[in-house]
Parts: sequence; structure tokens; C-alpha cells
Amino acid sequence: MTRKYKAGIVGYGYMGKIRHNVINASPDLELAGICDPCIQLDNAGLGCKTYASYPEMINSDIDVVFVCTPNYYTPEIVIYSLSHGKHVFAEKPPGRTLSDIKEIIGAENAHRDTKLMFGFNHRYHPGVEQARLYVKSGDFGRILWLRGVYGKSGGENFLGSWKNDLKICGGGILLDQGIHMLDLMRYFCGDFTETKSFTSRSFWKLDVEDNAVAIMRNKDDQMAMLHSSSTLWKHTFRLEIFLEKGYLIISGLLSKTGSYGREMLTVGKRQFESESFALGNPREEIIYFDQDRSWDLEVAHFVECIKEDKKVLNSSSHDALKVMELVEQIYKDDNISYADKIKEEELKKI
Amino acid sequence: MKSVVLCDDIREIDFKPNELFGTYIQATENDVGAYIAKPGVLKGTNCPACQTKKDTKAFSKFGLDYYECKDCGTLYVAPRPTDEAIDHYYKHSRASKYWNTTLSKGTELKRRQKIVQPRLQWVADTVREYIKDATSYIDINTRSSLVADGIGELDIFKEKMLINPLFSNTDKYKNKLKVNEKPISSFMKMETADAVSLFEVIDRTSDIATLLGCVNRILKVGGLCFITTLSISGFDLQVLRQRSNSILPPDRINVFSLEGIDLLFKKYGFECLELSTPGLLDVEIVASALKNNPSLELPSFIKYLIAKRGMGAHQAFQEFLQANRLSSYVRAVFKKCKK
Repeated sequence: MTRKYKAGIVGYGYMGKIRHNVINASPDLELAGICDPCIQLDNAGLGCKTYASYPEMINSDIDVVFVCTPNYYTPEIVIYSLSHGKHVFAEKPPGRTLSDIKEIIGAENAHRDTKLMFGFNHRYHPGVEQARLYVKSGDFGRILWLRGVYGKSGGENFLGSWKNDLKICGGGILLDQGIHMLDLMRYFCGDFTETKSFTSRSFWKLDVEDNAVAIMRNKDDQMAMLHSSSTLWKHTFRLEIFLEKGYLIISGLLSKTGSYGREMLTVGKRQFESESFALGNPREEIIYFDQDRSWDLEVAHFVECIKEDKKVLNSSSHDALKVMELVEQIYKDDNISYADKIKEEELKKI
Repeated sequence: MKSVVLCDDIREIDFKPNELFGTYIQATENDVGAYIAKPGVLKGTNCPACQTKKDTKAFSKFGLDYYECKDCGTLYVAPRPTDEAIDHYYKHSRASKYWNTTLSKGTELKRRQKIVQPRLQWVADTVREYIKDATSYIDINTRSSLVADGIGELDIFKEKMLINPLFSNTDKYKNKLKVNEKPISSFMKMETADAVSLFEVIDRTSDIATLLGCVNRILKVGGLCFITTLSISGFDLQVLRQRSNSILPPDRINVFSLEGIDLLFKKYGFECLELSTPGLLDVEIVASALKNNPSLELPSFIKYLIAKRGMGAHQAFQEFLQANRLSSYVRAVFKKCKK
């Protein structure tokens, strides 16, 4: 029997609990410790040792660290873990700023025997996976453009959430949720080299943006349009992929609450001039999905990379770097530098 | 698990022209009486899906009784003929000969374009999605030579085989696929296939337990089982019940509910990857039944929908049925999880 890797979780909030379930379901992992200084953890109920400080847990005999903390703490804990020879799975975003992920990559390069992956789980959603299969098949030709909308309505405790505290999060809805859509856009079209954008604080009175709109273009002339919002009163996930011979629309998203609607992939084929009936309104096929295994699949990929000593190629630190470059570029194009603001605030403290 | 909504322009009349299909029904009624519905041929059974005995008699057709399972809703013939008796019927009955030589031949082009090719494309696409380097494919008991022809052309598999005691003219498939003319229960090779198909086979198999046990044995772990069938959970069958021309013994001695299908395959060590009802004809079938018999008793809402609303509403309603797994045509993919 092959041995199980001992896993520890730092941060036992919403994501920490999700990772707990994923670890329990994995045939290759066993939960060895949980650390959260902000919560009174119950040893017996959790079925593993608990720690009040992360160095203590990381210095125990665990192999893998799941970093599920607010953005402010992520780089420090990831770097500490890598420096102590532990494999790391960290939630997105990879810190608050571009320089955070650069520092993380520095630590990763200095400890090449460790594996590092980030939780861009949307890549593993069934609608996205199925769309990738269609694109890869080549049957629809090359991608012409993408249009993505991802947003939520705020909700209970939204104003008081750390996700809207600039010092802790480093950005607004774009960094929190829009980053998933940006990651998917890169996943389908590669790196974008040009960006135009606007952000606004249109409704919520926050230090960070509640809406971001961006248009991007890559060297192959493929364009992408993004709207990331926390004023979408109807929770929405929709990614339209238009190709030479047809289109794929991923809409709805399997989630715990179901508030984004039933996840589906709509597949349409371009009609040609000879098909005059209902030209421009092709009949569509729709694939509905009932099961979200994205959390399990991404961790399975991570574990496979550890077991087989393979390079992490999906949701890697490079992907995290590139998507953070986009986020920073979108902010910069609208003359926003949260990174400078954070620095100023921190200097004031000193 | 996923489900699929399809679109295409098809009409029932393309596959079952009224006159030809009427002759087939009449021949079936005569032959079921002569070959099947007689003492000594029939054996008792529990629900073929969930094995419970809690049932209630639904109706009789051509001298055979259909029961409805109170637990899973599956409709089935009991007592029923054995698989040997059913094979004998398909080999020798006039109805079966009529199907093969006249009805099926007369509608061959449409059947190939609209049923067989999309079905085999579905198999190929799904295998590509789930299995790296699949090599072997076995179809079990298809009644359609068009399916056999199509499988012969499938280039995704190196090894293709039909297991089918009803198939003759095996020379035709030389170099394209192997034909094993013995019943599935005598095929002893274990874990040889990446994919197995049962196209409208669970509908007319008496001993489902043996069939699925064999499929499990033949498939490699992780291999896929493709099924198509008609389900009693679907709109036209729920509305028409015994008046449906699709419920004919022995073609449909089992009319599984969706819940029954799920239960059945789980029991034999399969995980469901896709369960879709991509039927396009439910509304049209009910409309046509009403047209042929205006005094047919139907719920007033359905009469209203059919008589007073146009094609747009009918099409939208059909799409709703597909999206919510409420059409009677079922296609499903199951993965073998364990032996």
C-alpha cells in the first residue's frame, strides 16, 4: 500500500472547510493538522491535531500545506512552507499584489523539490472542461473572441467582509472573483498583451472597486471582454467563446447554494449563407451538468504532480503570476494602484 | 453526471410511416400470440430494475400483462418469455422479418442519417473524452444492420465486435469487425472491452441480471457502457401509456423509469456519467395519436397545448422535456467502477 501524504490546513474558514472535505475524500491524503488562530478549534470534532500558530504545524511531520487564509497572509505562509520543504496548495489570489506572487516564485525557485499549485478550480468545472474538449478537437476552428461576465450581489455581511478591506485583500471584486474569469480567458487564449479598462465604486461604499470592465487582446488578435461585478443582483457566471465555425457558452455554475444557476454548456454551429432559414439564430445543443468535482480534481492533479515528481502545469505559479499581471494592468489602466496605497498605509503605521 | 439537450429536424413519420408501421403492429400482435403469449413460455419475475415485488397491474397488450413497480415506477411484462424464446421470436416471426426487410429498409436513409450516425458519433466523442487510447468496442444484440455497418466504419477502435445470436451474413463484416453469434452469456473473455453498447437492448432482454453481469465482466475497469432505451418517465409514454405504439412486446418488455435505470446500473457496479433524454418526438407522437383518434382521452392541458398552440410552443415544450429529463428517449453512459 502506498503511503498517504499528511496534509495540514492553515485557515479554517469557508475554503479551509472545503479543503478539509477534499482531503478526506482523497485516497492519497490524510488530514494531520489544522491551524487557525482566529477560531477556537475543537480537536476531537475535527479528527486531527489543531494549532494556534502555523510555524508549529508546518514544522511537524506534515508533507503538504493547504493555505486557505485571507490574501494578506497568503505569501508569508506559502513562502514559509516552501522554505521548510513542504508542498503547498494555496487559494487564489496569490496574495494582494504582483510583487507578492513574484516573491512566492522566488521561494519556489529556491526550493525546487517542492510543488506549488493555486486554487483556480474553475478550470476543473465540468462546463469548462467540456468546452476545452470542443476547442481542442478543432471542429470549431480557432477562437475569435471571448466575453465573460462573473458577478454576485454582495449579500449578508458583504460590507464587513475582509474581502473588501484593502489592507487585507489588496483589491476588490476583480481580485476576489473576476480573477477566476481572467484565469479562464488565459486558459483558452493564452496571454493578453494589451488591456483597456474601467473600474468603479458604483454602489457599495468601499475602498475597493465593485465593478471592473476590461477589454484585452493577445498577439494573435484574439480579444476578450470581462465584466466583474458585485452589483449583479442576479448572480451570474457566463463565458462566451466564439470560434470560426460556431460558439460555446458556459453559463451557470455548480455551487453550494446553487445561486449561479444550473451549469450548462450551449453549443451552436455557425450557419452558412446557403442555410437561409433562421440565419443567425442557429438551433443549439445544451449540455447540463449535475456534479461539481472541481475541488477534488484540482487537488488530485496536485497530488499526482507530487507522487510522480511532475512539474505543476495547471494553475501553476506561472499562471498565478500571469493573471496577477493582468489584474495589475487592469487597475493601472484605470489609474488605480492599490499596491501603492497599501504601501503608504503600511508606512504610515511605521 | 451530465445530460444533453439536442436539436435536429426529424419527424416520427420518417422512421415509422403510418401504413408500414400499422402493418408491423398487426403482425406483432399476431406473432406474440403465436410465439410468446402461451402457457409454458412465460416465467414470473420481480421488477427488473429494483427487484421488489410491490407492483400493480397496469394494462395488458397482445395477451401479455404489464405491471408497474410501486417503488421505482418501472413498467414491465410479467410473467415474461425467456431470452431464448425472444431470440426465437426475432429469428422466425413474420413481424421481425417485416421489420428487417420492409420497414427498416424503407426508412434506411433517414435512420442512418438521423439515428445511427449521431449515436455512433456520441460513442466516439464520449470515449475520446473519458478514455485515453481506447482500442476495443463490443456491441451487444443490436437489431439494426445499420448499426453494425456504422460500427465497422468507426476508426477510433482497432478491435470491434458484435455479440449477437441474431446476426447472419457475417461475411459482410469480414475485415471490419468480428461477429460472435453466440449469446452474451457464453462470451467468456474478461475485461477485454473499453466500450460496450446496448442500443435498445435492455428494453427487450428478459434476464437483465445476466446481461449486466456479463457487461460488467467484459468491460475493463473504467470502461464505458452506452445505452439507449425508452423510459416510462418520459412525456409521450406517461400520457399515452397502453395506447402508445412504442410499448409493444417483445420489443419493450421492460420500460424502465429513469430512477430504475439509475438503480439498476449502480447495482451492477456502474457509475452514471451521462443520463440524458434527448428525445425530439414526444409532443409530435402525442399530437399524432390525437390526430389519428380525436376522441382519445387526454388531460385537457395537453389537448389545449397540441390543438391551440403552434410549432414554437411545441418546440419549446419539447426542449423543456429534454432539459428536465422528461422525454421518453433515453441515452446514458455508465462507467464500470468495480468488478
